[in-house]
Parts: sequence; structure tokens; C-alpha cells
Amino acid sequence: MKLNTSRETLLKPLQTVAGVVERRQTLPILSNVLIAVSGGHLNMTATDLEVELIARTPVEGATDGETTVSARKLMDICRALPEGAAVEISESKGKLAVKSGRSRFSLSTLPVGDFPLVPKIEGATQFSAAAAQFRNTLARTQFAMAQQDVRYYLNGLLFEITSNQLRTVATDGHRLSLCDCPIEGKIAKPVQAIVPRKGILELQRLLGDGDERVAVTLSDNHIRIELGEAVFTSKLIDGKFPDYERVIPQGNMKRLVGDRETLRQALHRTSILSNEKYRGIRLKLGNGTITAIANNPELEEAEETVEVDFTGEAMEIGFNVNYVLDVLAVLTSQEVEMMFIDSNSSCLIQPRGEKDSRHVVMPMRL
Amino acid sequence: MSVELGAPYPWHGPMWGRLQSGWRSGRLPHALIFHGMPGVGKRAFAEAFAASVLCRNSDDKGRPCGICGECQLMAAGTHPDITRVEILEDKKEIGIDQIRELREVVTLRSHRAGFKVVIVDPADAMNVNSSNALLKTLEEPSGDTLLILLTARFGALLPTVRSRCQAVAFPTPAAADAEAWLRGVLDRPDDAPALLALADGAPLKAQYLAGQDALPMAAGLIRELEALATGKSDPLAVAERWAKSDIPTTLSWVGGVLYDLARLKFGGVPSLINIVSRTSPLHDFASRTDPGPLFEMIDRVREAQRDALTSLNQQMILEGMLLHWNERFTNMNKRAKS
Repeated sequence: MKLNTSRETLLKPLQTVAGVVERRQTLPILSNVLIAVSGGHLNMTATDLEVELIARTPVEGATDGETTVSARKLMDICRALPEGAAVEISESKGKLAVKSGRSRFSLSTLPVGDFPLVPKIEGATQFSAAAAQFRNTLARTQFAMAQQDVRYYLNGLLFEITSNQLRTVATDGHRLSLCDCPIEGKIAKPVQAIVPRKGILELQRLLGDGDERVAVTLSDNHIRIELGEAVFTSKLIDGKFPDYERVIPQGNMKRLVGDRETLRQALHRTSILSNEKYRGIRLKLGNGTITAIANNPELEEAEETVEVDFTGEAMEIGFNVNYVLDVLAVLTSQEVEMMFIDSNSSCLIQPRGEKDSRHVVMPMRL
Repeated sequence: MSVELGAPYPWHGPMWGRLQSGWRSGRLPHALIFHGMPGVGKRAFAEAFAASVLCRNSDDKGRPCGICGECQLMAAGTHPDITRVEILEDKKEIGIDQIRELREVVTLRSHRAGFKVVIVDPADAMNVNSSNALLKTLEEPSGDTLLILLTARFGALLPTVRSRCQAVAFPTPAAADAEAWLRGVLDRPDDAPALLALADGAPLKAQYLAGQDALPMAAGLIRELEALATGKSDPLAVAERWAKSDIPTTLSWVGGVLYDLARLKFGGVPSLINIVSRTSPLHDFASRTDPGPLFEMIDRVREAQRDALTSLNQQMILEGMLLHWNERFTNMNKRAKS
């Protein structure tokens, strides 16, 4: 392998993949990056066995070949070179030589065959989606994922794929969020897959603001997402997601419509004096108003009333205010709808005028 | 890390066959405990079994093909679907964080679309917390997972762990089998019986001892014992020297010699005594002493072995034991003279 290029051409893909390079280093080769040159492309691959990232860059006049070398050291070298410097890398006899100007580096390599790549993804479901919508779908649900729950199937985001839509669902047992995203592709039969928490967080970091499309491939064991110059692959959680439809309240509900930002700010202010551990807040629904009341063990109290569109029977309900604030923060609509049954039933929150996302928050007895 | 890929050791034959047929017919439980004394090849067996389970083309005897991608990764020690939980450097136990990490790995789908194998070695290094953290995984791992726990102290595992696994006992191989194998791997095959005796019959331990110059060391210990027995040596000076050695090994060897003396006395077949010469004063001592004092001396070795695991001053433990022995030896010598 031989490659003449600039510092930036090397550095950008390295920085993209460096995030998943194993820090704990259970296996020495996981601290390495796999560098492969073929067909005029430079591919850099890093893995921590849960998430694999490949960054692609076109290169010119390169000789094909592949090797693995310490990601950290190669990145530090590239960073330390002057901006715009020309770099030559070449591999021979188990060493990777990096030359730039009068600098010479010789890095030790490990065999490519030892690098635990994800094998070819077979028998797969494939579809594509607009990057912006895809990112939005993740953002609107990922906050509700459980963290280190013994119900391990909750420590991730459910991808449910039907003929023309992707639905993501996350729940930690106290609240649930789901969001739909239109997709294109041939889906033979509906598929469910749970992507682990770590993968989702990494994926969010990768998804840019661009309006390109992302291509998603799903097999029994992995999900692979191609976003422009990066290819993201994550293992899936080996479990079955609970039947979330049953959790979403339905039927005859009291409907409240309010300005999202006004509600969010009011709740946020009130929450300052709620119990720091339980974060409980009481909502009093009256004719055309909602009153948020919080108090804490120090006997301090906060109360704020917001004008809303509500004409049902008056009621009172308690929530963990963080759950409600999380939802109000990720929505983008001007107004939100909150649907209640009674003070012992879950509340459904959804953006007004949009049908693609729904959020359920369980009440709290205060 | 190099991994033993070949067929397991000859004395593993029946066990290998049984587990392989269980595996092939899908009757193998998802959690196994391999237990047996150190040096009988439990780990090598577990690694070989894992290689066999992960290889895509292993033959009907369970031998991995050695050429597929899985075998290559196994050989490089980088197979992503095998997780080894061991005592970390500078640690004495397998901590709960390691088990929590393991739990996360096991709940994910496999990397190479095959099985996931977990080897916990030694399982008795898990403390109560980590053992409890493993219970849920042991009971109901996600699909396609094989958990193998290794231990030399089966009884030290929590009953709740034991009851969730199928136990597979690794007996010490028959002396003849062990010796035949050991002769094949030693530079000086004739050392085999003595080394096996020092290793309590465990062939791999015997092989390890051969590389550690164990025989000269054992001979040195016996000379020290002889000097003590004839009153030519100062027990305190001996304790000082032994305190610098690997104390558990030293104790197990000198203990072994005393056991042998007792066996000899009752007409049993000694093992270690083979490396003690016939003309040794120890034989003399054994033939003349009463069983009582001899067994008291053995008890002191046991006590010292137990105390050596605590934070007590190691040299003082040895001093206590050796002063006691010295008294016995002196009494005997006095009686001989009178």
C-alpha cells in the first residue's frame, strides 16, 4: 500500500472513526484503525465490537493495500503536522511509514486478518430515508431509552419498519416516545430491531444537517447505515421489545391545547422548587387554564398558571416534570396537545397538527 | 494471547466426545461449570470447545477447520464473539463491573452471526456481588449463548450459581495416561513420575513445574527437611529462607513429604517419597516415630497453608510450624539415643 495525500485527507476520516476506538482495550487490535486503499478510495475502519465505523475518502494515484495501525498515534501524528502538509504513507514488512517534509515515522502494524470486521450483512432489509427526517426521528425518541435497565431490551431504540415507514420507539418503563419517518425501499414484511443505546448516541453524532439520504440495511444481527462518507454498523440487542401499542392511551380523552414554549418555560420555572430526587409536579386543569404547582421537603413552593385551550371537567394530576420537559423540548410545533383520561392514567402528548410523533408519560401519585 | 486450537489433551477424550455430541444434538445447556484441580487442562478444553463451537466447518469430532475466518480470528485471539472474564491485573477478584460489562455484551446479537461464548476463569474469583450479578444472565441468557465457568474450587461458588449450570467434573487423569503424555513433552522424560508427584498428578501443572526447575527445588527442600530431622539445621534460619520462596508451593511440597511418610508407615503407596532417597534420615524418622506426632506435624502444615492466605506475617507462620517440627524431631532423636 502506498498513498500520497494531504494531512487533511487523512485527518478527517481518522477523526470520524476515532470516537469508537476502544479506550479500555480488551483486545490490543481494537485500538487500531484498519486502513484500506482500493479502487481510488481510502477506507478507515474502527470498531469497539459493538459499533463499527468506516470513513471513506477518494484518493488519487494510490497503490492498493490494507493494514492496521494504532488510531491514536496516527491521528496524533497527523494533527501535529503543519496544516496543508503533504503526507506519504506506505506499508512494508509489518511497518507503516509516514513521511511528511523532513519528518519520518515508522508505526508497527497488526495483520488485517486479525481485525474483527463485521461480516457481510446478508438476508437484509434495505431502505433509504432523508437524513434530516431520520435525525429528527431519532432525536424525538432517543431521550426516553432506558439506561442499564435489567430489562436489557429497553436499553436501546426500537426500529419498526413497515412498507413505507420507519417507526422508532423508546421507553424506560415510565414514559414512552415514538416517532414515524417516511422511507423508500422494498420491505417484504414488517421487521423489528432494537439498536443499543451506545449506537444511537454515536449515530446522532454522525448525522449532519445535510439534505442527502441515508441508506439503511438491517440483518438479523446488525444494522448498517450509510451516510455520505461514513458507514455506521451496530450490533442489535438480542431481545423482544414489549408491545408498546398497549401503553398508548386511547379512547375518550380530555384534550388540552397550549403554546409549547410558554408551557415549557412555565414548567421549567416551577420545577426549580420541586423535590430534587422525585421531581414531582402537580398540574391543575381548570376552565381555560393549567396551573403547575411544585413543592419540596424544605416547604418551598412554586406556582404558575398558563392560559390554555381546555374545556373539560377540572382535574389534578402529578408528573415527574423532567419527563414532560424532555418531550416539550424535542418537539418543534408551535402548539402541543395533551390528552388526559384521569389522574391515574398516562397522559399522551403530541405536537398539534403533526401526527408523526406521540409521547406517553405516566402520572405520579403526589 | 495465543489460543490452543488443536484437539484437547488425550485424557479429555471421553468428556470431549460427550460434550460434542450434546452440542451437536442441541442438548447442551447454555451454562456449564468445568471443575477440577489446577493443571488438568480445563481452560485449554474450554478454549478448544469454544473454537469448535465458533468454527463454521468443524468436523464430526468437533475439530475446528483452522482456515475459516472464525478460526483465523480465534488464532489471533481477536474473535469478537468470545468474551473472557478474568481477574484484572492488580486485582484479586472478578469485580461486579466486569460482570455488568459482560451482561451488556451478552444481550447483544453476535458479531459474526454465530454463537457467543463466554469463559469465566476462575469463576471462584467472583465475589458475592459479582456472582449475584451473573445469576440473571446464567439463568436466561439471550439466544445462542454458551457460558463456561471454570473453577478449581467448585464448593466456593455460590449454590445459586452452581444450581444454574451443568457441572462437568474434570478428574485427574489416570497416572499411566498422565505419565505417558508427560514423557512425550519433557526434555528429560525420566523426570515425569517425580514431576507428576509434585503436581499431585495434574499433567499440565507437572509440565509447568518442569520449566520452573521444580525438581532441584524440591530436592533442596528435602535436604532442608533432612537437616532439620537430624538436628543439623536451625529452624529459624530455614523459616527465613522458605519465607522468600513461593510459600504455598513450599508448604504443599513439604506437606506432601509428610503425608508420604505417614502412608509409608501404614504400608500405603507413597508418591512424593520416590524423590526422597531410600537412605534418607526421613525414612529412619518415619519408621521410628509414633503416628501421633507425625499427624500433629501434618496438621501444622494445614494450619500454615490456611494462615498463609491471610495477611499474617508469613515468616512467623513458617517459624511457628518449623519450631513445632523441630521439637518433634528432637524428641525423637533423644529417644533414639536413650
